[in-house]
Amino acid sequence: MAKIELQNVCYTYGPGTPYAKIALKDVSLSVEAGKITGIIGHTGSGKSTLVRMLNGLLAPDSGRVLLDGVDINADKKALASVRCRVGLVMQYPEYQLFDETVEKDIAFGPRNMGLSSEDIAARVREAAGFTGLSEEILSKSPFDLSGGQKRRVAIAGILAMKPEVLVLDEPAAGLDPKGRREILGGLLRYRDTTGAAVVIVSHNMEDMASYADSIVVLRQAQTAFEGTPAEVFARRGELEENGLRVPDAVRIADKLRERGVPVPEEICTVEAEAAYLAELLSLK
Amino acid sequence: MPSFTEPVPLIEARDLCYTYPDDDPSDDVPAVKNVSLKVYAGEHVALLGHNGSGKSTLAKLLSQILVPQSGDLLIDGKSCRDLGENELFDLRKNIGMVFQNPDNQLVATVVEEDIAFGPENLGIPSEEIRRRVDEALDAVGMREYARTSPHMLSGGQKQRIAVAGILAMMPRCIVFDEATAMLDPSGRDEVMETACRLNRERGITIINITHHMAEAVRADRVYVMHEGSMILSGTPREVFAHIATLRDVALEAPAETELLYSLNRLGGAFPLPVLDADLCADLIAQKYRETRKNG
Repeated sequence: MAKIELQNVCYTYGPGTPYAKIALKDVSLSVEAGKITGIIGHTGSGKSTLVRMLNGLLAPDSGRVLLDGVDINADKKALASVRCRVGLVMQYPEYQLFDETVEKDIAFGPRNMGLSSEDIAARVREAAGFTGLSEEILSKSPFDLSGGQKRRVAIAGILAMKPEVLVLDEPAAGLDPKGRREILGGLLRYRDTTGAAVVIVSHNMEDMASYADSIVVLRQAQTAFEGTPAEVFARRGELEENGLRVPDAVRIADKLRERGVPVPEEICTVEAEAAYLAELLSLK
Repeated sequence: MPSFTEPVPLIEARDLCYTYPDDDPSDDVPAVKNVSLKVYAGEHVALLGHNGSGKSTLAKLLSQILVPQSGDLLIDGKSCRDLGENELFDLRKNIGMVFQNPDNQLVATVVEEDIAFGPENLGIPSEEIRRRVDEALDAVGMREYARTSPHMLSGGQKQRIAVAGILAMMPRCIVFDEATAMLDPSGRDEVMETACRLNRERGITIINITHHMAEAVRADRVYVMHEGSMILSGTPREVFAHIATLRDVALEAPAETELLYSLNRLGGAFPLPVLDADLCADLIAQKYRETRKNG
């Protein structure tokens, strides 16, 4: 069964006003536990609205959002517990840091869940581990950290709540290549350790190719198509019409196929491409 | 003694140092350490470096938002040291900046008013402002959105409006401080195309701070910063030849070079760097044909 599911969700901003804007139109989507689901789409395609549906920040005008088969909007009083189970990391979460020390900031979520101080301390350490924050940083003020470190603290604050569904809107935007790999690698480890369902919204096609198990493409408030990274990136024309691109490795693979070098469609990362070509070219 | 044939750089940094003030001066780490560079009028320069490497601080020093604690900044060969506030104000007009988050740099409720904000504050007469706003909108291809509200625009369009707002002040140089980081791929292309066109057609000097190696490939010169110092500079070909160094400082090379570098580590012998997908594919295809012939 799907961990979290959208069934025919519709949502309009400012309904009945001249500025009414349909953000989601009959969107159905299902996210499996233990999988990383990527969501891509042009600016304004509905990604951020969709993300807010997943933990009940927005409720659909029609349609349902099911967590383990239960409609999260059926009982508004239960939404607080839904938000503990579905962790949402918004864009630029570092702007939301507020506490005196990194440790207290990460502990804010678990403390509000009413956990014991030992449990909280253990969760803070564990979350810091996933995001690559060292022990000495925990006692610093979050405002003395670099942008990349602040981002890690903000993500750790959500991981410390141990959400069963982890939703992130552009978690790696603005980070350097190594920082990006470390953050996304940490999310992968969180998924492997906890079996959580992870949903990542990103404009970075390379990251999607490397980390997502499946990708959903949104177009003008609707699901355009979905599939494994290889299936999605094989539909180049449609992606480009939607203001998206294929990853660099796929672009290079296209050029290789034009020149008669057989490269399978499954290859969407530079690492996989190098490994395949090394074999093909009998390099030693 | 400068030779007579060498042009005077538009911007020259000489041993710039900057440390952010801190409550506890003992653990002050300089954000920029002895950085020297020359940017000539009409150049397109890319500045790379990991998060916290000092790129943005350097950009703020170059555009005189920050004042260096030591070293000197020269605009058209004229030192900024010992200048009064009024003279600095005039010098600042030479360089405009576009920042990362499009929502943080638009101030008005209508696009054309937003673009007029800069020239209004420079005390430009209103007919002249009208002309500049229209011209700036044309330059970024956004004329039809003159009366739109900025919040109705996409990220790429907002950044183009931010660029237009800078253009209306007629700077000679525009610094893009990770201006494409928030954008989707087509938005990124829009902003990069706009920057390259302004550089090509109007000779506006571009300094592009970025984490996207594909953008850096389009520059005339690439500079790489690490822990406040400038560690590499040269043409894209020269800089991306140092792929091991780039990896050491948390960066990477464009995908074409990364792929061939990986193949070389597995026993290949491809020439590096390669910054063009067609050339990359040609080299691999040639090797493939040789392998088939011999095997």
